Amino acid sequence: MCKTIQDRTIIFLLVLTALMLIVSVPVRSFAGGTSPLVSTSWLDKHKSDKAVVIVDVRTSANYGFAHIPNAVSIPYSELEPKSKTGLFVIPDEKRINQMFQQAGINNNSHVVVYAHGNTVSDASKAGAAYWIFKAMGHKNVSMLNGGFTKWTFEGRVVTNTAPNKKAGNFKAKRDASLIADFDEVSKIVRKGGAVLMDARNSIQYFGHEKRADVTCYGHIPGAINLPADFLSNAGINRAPATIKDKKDLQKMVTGVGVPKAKSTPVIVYCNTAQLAGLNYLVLKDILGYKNVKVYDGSMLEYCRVRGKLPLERFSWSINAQKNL
Amino acid sequence: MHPKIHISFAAALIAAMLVCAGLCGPRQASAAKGLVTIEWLSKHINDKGLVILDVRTFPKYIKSHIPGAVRAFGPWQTMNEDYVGFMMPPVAQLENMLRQYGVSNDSFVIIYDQGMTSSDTAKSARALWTLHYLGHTKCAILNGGFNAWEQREKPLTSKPTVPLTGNFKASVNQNKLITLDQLKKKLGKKGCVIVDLREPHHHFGHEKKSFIPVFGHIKGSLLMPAAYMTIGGQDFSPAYLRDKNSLLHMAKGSGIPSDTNIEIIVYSNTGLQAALGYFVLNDILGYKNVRLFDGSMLEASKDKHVPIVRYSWGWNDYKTK
Repeated sequence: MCKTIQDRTIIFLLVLTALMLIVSVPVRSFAGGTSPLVSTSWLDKHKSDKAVVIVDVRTSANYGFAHIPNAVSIPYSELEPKSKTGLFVIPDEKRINQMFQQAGINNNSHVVVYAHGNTVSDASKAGAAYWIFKAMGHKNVSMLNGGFTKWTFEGRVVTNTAPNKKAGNFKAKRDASLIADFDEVSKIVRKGGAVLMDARNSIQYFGHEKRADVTCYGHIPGAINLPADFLSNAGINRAPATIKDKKDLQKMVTGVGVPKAKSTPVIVYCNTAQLAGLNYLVLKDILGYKNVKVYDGSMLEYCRVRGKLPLERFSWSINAQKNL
Repeated sequence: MHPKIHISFAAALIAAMLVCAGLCGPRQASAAKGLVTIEWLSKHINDKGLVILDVRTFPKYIKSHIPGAVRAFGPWQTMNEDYVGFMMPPVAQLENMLRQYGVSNDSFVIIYDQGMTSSDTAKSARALWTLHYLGHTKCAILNGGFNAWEQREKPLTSKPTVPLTGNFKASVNQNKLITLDQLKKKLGKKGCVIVDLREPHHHFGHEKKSFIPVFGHIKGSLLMPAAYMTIGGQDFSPAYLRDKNSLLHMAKGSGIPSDTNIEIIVYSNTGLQAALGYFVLNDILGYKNVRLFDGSMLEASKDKHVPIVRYSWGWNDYKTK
């Protein structure tokens, strides 16, 4: 008797372990679908999966020199091209469809985006690409944690030949719940109703310096500062730009003044919406804030069209929470 | 004819008044308290009682310096006997050092540094704070330092100045300094304003200096980076101090109350950047009760009783969420 019970227990445990493995291996499950981050080892195992489309958002020259096997090239400069007015914004759906279909992306593909992984600027290119896929209605997206830098540090295989991809059936459906425009931002400046978060470094946020093509110093009134730099390990003991762990990220987000309630609406911006993409990924899909948008026009637009709306310079917007 | 005469008379009167405002005022009127301009110094460089201290490194001084300036590299800060902080040397030693620089109690001391970045200006500010602590308030920083002087093509020399020994005697003002033990009694108390002068990524704890053992800031401290107080490096500019109005905005935007009688404690990693904070708050903005925590993070981080917080802005530390 005793023996059979033991055997049964062992079998039960084996089955349970197998089940857990099955559940966890293909796509690491996460609240709301795909995990926002995948590791290099995961991607190495799944780089040839039919459902996986690896998107390299570095320049085409970088891509041509060496990339992850099976990766297709969509340079970041195509995802947020410079418009006639000098802004960097997502192109129209037609152009997006053309690019994504040509890259072999289907509506049910699992897209994994990556950029270089040396600096936060690299990581945020992948982060912004991640946001753009989501904003174009694609649910199943992940970002490669640590990017191409971590991949090559670990001695994984690279290639310079582009894969043969059949055109995909991707169809963009712009998701307005993830994109903020100037009208919405100006309403919040006047009446409150959401946390405004500036993802630039503190030098620019505080208005000590500014980017050359941005025409004003300082930040949108009431915005709090969480520099995208703080979210990654880039540069610390020469680490690649991997994202810090969830516990630290939550600590930081509350430490800069975002309420703990996950229903708190947050609008993230920077100069062009690139850095903001990384804050979006962290807030929305790692920490689970439900209502996070990126202001695509960002400071580049705000400075030009703000009219009588004020700016805040030489201040940390210490009483920003009153805005809510 | 009459109206014309009147007009020219009035014009002459106004012109005379303008000239007078420029020339007839008291000698140091053109300089804000604690700060002199290149123009002021080049006019007054031969004034009796003026002592110019060059706080740059020895090789730089030897290469070229402002005529009459004394090599005054210090040390303004040394490792103290407990090896816990990079602190002010003993008073007797400083007194002796200043006498050798030619400082007397009635000297007007002008301090200058390389003038490239805010960290350079902080070196001047540290010397100025030391003089204030020793009871000597007749001193000022040369705005823009050596770089500004050089950029305006003012005369330079490589001939070292050999000063006559001064008769400086210190009368210490303890209110300029706060020790670790005194600070600990104030932590978390109402009305205690502690200001961190380091850069935001050090305050936040994203990075730290290798010689500081912990990440983050003293709990509840405000943040007013010394690095933002000058325009050094912007469009190749020397490190001119920002104008008073901008600095006032910065203090307000950092959460420092506008009452100039409140007690403010400034700190940084080693007390160097903190000195620039002291200078701006005390000399430029007129706060009357600014004290420098000389041990700064180097000392505080080794004491278990000082709460250090990482991954937050200090002003959020005591907020309930």
